[in-house]
Amino acid sequence: MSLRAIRRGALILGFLGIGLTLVFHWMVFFWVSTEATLGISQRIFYIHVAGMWTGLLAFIMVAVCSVMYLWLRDDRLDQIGQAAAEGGLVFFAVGLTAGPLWARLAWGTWWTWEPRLTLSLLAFFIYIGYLMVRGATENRERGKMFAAVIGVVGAINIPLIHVSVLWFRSLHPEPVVARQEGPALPADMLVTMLTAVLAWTVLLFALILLRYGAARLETRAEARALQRGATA
Amino acid sequence: MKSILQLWRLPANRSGLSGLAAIVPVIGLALILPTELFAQEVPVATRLEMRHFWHVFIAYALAWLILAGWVLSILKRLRRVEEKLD
Repeated sequence: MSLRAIRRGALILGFLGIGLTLVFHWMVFFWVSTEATLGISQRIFYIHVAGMWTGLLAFIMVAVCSVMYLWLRDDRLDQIGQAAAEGGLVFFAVGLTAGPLWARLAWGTWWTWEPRLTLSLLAFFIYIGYLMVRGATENRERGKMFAAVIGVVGAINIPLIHVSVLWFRSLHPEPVVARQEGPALPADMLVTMLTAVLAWTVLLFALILLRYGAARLETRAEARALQRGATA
Repeated sequence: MKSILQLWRLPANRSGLSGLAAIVPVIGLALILPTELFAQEVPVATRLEMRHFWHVFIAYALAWLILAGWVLSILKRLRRVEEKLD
């Protein structure tokens, strides 16, 4: 994929993502009905779920890119993985900050060491480690390899976050959307939530493309600098 | 309505205090006494609603700040590399 195509793709997806985000904000603040028990604080749910979902999707991308990198040793896979890890951390940070703001009103506490929260925080730190380990070794290739290993091992945590509410006693409710009997949410809330998830998924891909494009340019700049050094 | 300056210029009353000087102890008393004695009780439901509103506002504002931070960092990185390439 050429740099021009990457930039064009990022631009198109970016505008689409922003457009969908504006639509979901309009739905959250002007269209969707207010939940009877939790009141307007339930509106935090839409960015909380969208942030966590997008973050987890990015972490799955990191895992796939890491496996492929360990197999093929293609730098582009490492660059996509790095961009996805950054994106995952950003969207996960949104989910992790929105969660306590809602939990304070719904549960009466900002934070509690219950399984899902603990595993989510662990995932956050794993991917910080994934980004940090690259700069921790003198050999850059070895750093990339270590990061890829963390990317693969860290993926074990992702399904655990999902099933933690079923396996352990948790303050989080059991799944309300992905369940066998069908979604338990009222139709308008479900549509708003799905729009939010779609909007931020598109935005995530746009920003990953943009970040990947920047990494490709950096590689090109480094290669050019090396070439200049060789000819001088 | 008289301005504060005009109030200072009011002639001293029988006790020898000017207009504003007579008000000072009243203001002092109001500051010492608990506000609940003077203020109209705000309904608990309204107070809770305002608290919920602030949490929603902060959650969405933080979300946008975090996302904008990442976008800016990517754009900064892109500009730096493009300058290096030029």
